[in-house]
Amino acid sequence: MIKIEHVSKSYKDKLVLRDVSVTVEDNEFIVIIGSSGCGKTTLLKLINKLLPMDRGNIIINGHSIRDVQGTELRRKIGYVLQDGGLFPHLTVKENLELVLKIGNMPTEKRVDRVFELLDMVNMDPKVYCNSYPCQLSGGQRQRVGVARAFALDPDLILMDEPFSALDPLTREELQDEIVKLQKEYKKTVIFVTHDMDEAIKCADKICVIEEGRVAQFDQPEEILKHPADDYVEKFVGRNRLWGNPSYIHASDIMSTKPVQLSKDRTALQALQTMRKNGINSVLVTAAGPRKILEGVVWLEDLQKLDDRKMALRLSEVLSVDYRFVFEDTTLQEIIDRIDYDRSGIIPVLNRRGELKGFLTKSMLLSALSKRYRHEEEEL
Amino acid sequence: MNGLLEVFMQRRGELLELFIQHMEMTSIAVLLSICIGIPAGILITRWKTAANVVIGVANLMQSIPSIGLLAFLVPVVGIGQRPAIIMVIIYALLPIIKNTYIGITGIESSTMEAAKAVGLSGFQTLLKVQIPIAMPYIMAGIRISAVTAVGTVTIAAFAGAGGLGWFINLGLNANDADLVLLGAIPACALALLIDFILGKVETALTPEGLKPADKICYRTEKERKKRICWSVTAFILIFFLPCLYTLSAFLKPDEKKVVVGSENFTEALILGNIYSILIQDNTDLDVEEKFNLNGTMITMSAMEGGDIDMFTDYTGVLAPNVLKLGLSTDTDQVYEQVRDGMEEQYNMKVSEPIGFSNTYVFAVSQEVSDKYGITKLSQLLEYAGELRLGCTTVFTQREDLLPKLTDEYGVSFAEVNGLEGNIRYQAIQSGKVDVIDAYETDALLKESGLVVVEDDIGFFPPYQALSVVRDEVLDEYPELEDVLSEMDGAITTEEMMEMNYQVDVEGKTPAETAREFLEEKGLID
Repeated sequence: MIKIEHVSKSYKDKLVLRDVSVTVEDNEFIVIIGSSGCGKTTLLKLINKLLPMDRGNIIINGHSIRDVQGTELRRKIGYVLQDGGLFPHLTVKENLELVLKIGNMPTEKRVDRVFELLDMVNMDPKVYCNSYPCQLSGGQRQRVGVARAFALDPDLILMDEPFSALDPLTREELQDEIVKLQKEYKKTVIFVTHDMDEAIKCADKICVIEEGRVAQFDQPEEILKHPADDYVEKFVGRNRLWGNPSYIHASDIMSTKPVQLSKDRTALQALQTMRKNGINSVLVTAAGPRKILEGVVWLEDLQKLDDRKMALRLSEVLSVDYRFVFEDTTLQEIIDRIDYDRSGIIPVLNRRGELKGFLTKSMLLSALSKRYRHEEEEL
Repeated sequence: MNGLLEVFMQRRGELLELFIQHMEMTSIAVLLSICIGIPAGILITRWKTAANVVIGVANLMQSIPSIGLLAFLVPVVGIGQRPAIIMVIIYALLPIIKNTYIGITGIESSTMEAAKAVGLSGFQTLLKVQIPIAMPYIMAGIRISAVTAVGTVTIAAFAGAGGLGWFINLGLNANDADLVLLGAIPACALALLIDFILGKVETALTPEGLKPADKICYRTEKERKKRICWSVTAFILIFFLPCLYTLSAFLKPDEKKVVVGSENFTEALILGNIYSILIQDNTDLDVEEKFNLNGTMITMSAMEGGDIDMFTDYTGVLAPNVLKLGLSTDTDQVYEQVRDGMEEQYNMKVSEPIGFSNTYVFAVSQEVSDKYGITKLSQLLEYAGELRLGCTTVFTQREDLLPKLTDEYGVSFAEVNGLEGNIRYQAIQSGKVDVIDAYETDALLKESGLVVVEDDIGFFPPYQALSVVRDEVLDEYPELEDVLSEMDGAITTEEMMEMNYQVDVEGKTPAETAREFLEEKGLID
């Protein structure tokens, strides 16, 4: 566990961080985000004492970093720089070996570890061992940079905008891999970026920094849905939520006033209700206070009945050929699952089967289009 | 070309020795520069305010003319290799400091941050990251320094340090281009050779990863170690091996020896050789020769510092320049003043006059002599207003020479051109000037067929040649006194002129000429 307690830092007269307090649990992927110059990189560099802090304290697993020598501390914390930060005069192998050497790993174990590390970041050791950094692509250099951070198997890895110089495809690929590695090897990662998409994609928790203070520190979903203040909202972007369908649930966009009838009502009553409301379906629930969904009656089905059958109970004419979703089903899943041509109405249930609301095609469309509408407005 | 070949064949033994001496001085200076320059360059990267000061001072020192620096150093550190090496270090230091500084500060900040972030200590960073990455720059600095040093060392000959500058100096004195080339060509070749070898070392020490991607050639650790081994060997061959030469001299037991010094013009060199041979052949003392010192001031500081034990000079030089005596043209009076003054002020014994005098004379071309009917100084002064004078700067400056002519005799020449050494003879022969100042024993005076103007008014100060020995040396080796007195009155002006002629015109070495003279006179067997 890493506790950052009331940390302040200034450069000359400029206060860069003011009274920052953040607690990071083990094995969490934390993303620190903010506009350039907000102090996010400074905060990162305070943790491994690349920069000295003015006030406050940082406690890693119960030990204040003030009591540890900087060089010793940094050997126990992985660090990934933008563009890898590899030593240009050393081969890939030598770059990794250098770190292993200062970590006091015995010579005979080093070569095996180098191969292991390169395999871990999906680089063929036989091919790349003896390459020099200038012979690698940006993505490959960054892979070696990640491998170097993992070399001495530290519990904590700091990453300073590691992927920002890469092309979008490579960036996505590496983001996926770093999240995978973090989970697989159970590392605590603190990752600095200015890219909100990257933050949402990777983070267990996001720490939004504004002018040296923590504006919000929470899970990505919370930050998207409930920005703590205008700054966060603006930084996150109003459209951001709609661009991330996995954070939008059915309950966020459903209508909570479904037109519903008890199953002991008649077909005629259902027809009248539909005409009155100008709709083509009615949801049928069980009698009683819990309103368990039983089925749907469709206008076109009722219109096929002759007048004599108008007195039939709804329980006899209802259709079970419909799709429903739960309140916490994500927009992503709804889009994936629902066949638009068939379902005019999508009932929304809670986990006990009670009817809570409904969705229609047009609601889904409007939810998805919100993102673009905002973009236009912003333009 | 034939002349050069001949000179080379004649002096090849001497050439080899001077070449080694040259390499040795270059090596010591460059090695010391490396030892000072690289740590200094590294240090100032960590202390930025010092960087401006150090680089500023190094720049400033670079701009001091080398001969001036040498003249400044001699009174402080004496003559010989010491001032020479210090001078070369001063010039060689800047490129090394500057390149080390630039090489290290030029390293990308992300690389430095990475070094810190992975947990390298300051010293590890220096050793594993900064120095390897800055290596190409540092080596380039060493290359520049070494090449410059080879050139600067030639100047060192003026302070009696030897080296290839000796030939250049001799050649300039004797107006002998071949002799100049004999010094200059090997110096040039040495510079190119050092540059070539250090270039190879530089390539070997440049980490592959820093080369352009298409030039990278992966080498196994074993291969790299081998290359570095070769580089270090080459480095040692260039820089350390020549130093062994000096070291061996240090290890020799201290023998009974006398150091004979001499200034850097032909006559002084011949006299230096005469004394050297005379002492070697007539006593069991060893003689070390420290010839080619640039002027009386340097020889006198060398005498005072004990770097040399004896030298030859002239009453007309010692009286005004060393003893600051007033002007007098009375030969005996000046001699006595010099003899007493040197003893009292410097504890040096001045010998009886060697016999010849080497005072100033005016010389005119045959045509001018005929045209104006000039053979005597009084006649020359009458026509001075129509004549163009070419003379040394000393002649224009010394109060008892040109200023005295102007002030006391009211004489002014049509033109006064400051000309040095043998250029005066070229100028008068090509008709650019009408009158030159000359030394009475100049070989070229005999060669060039000029008319020597007789001093019928006793204008010029006396210039009796004599030897000067430190009293301490005479106390230690009393046998010297008898040997040195053999030279009292031993050389006439004509004989001296003849010897100068043999060296300057006929191309004999001063040593040969000296030995022949001594044999002829029966002073040695």
